[in-house]
Amino acid sequence: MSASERTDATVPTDAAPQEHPTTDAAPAPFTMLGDASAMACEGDACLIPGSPLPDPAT
Amino acid sequence: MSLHDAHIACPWCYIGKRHLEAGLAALGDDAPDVEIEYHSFELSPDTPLDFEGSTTEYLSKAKGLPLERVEQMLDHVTGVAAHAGLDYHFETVAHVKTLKGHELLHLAKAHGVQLEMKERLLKAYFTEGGRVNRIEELVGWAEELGIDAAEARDALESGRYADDVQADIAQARAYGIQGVPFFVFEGKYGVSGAQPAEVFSQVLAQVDGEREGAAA
Repeated sequence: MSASERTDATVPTDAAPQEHPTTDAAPAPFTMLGDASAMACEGDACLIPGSPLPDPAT
Repeated sequence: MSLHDAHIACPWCYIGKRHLEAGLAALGDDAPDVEIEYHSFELSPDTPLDFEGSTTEYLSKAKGLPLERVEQMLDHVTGVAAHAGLDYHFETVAHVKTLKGHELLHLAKAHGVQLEMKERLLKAYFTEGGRVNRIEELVGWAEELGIDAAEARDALESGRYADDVQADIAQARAYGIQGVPFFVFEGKYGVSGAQPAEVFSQVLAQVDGEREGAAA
């Protein structure tokens, strides 16, 4: 499961960071904060998490 | 407050680093004292030791994508980096294995200059076309930060910190971390990805508030 699939929760910029529940893919020791769909690198797919073939327009 | 993050050859890590710095700066006088420690993470163990072609060519081959499509994707990342004040040049990036660079980060940590070395390696990789696997180049960056060249060369050639790098990678795997950047705050909260600066501000303020509350 990719990072983008952990949750689709987003964090409004004027609100406190949301906690989102961990899943089987999320690091168990940590309470996750922030936007779970933020850009990250997994393997050699370093554009949009969970997709090695992102739309460059996004 | 302590936090952790990782990797040299991940474009979102450099961008995330800038966003974290901006988020911290935005707190102004309310910014907490933050102690940052970088831990190693190997994104793609099958990366060749020293690929001679361009990143575009490597990704095109590895992903089976047309060169034009890869160029479009890298242009997109370059644009996001520019918004963060970073000057990416994928046309000169040397797609190489980064483990030796991580060993240098551990040496730099022993000398109290890990943050400076992290910045130096990221700039070398994404902006200057540096080869972060070549001992000669790594020794040069060590010297820039005041580390004795002979010591750096000996540490890198002997693999003095290789076990530390592998221990970091194993710990990340044990934590279930699949991608980077990944920030750990106070060993309790995790933040994944190149979050906007305002998210880092919010997280830092929240964690600092909880820390102060617990101390009161």
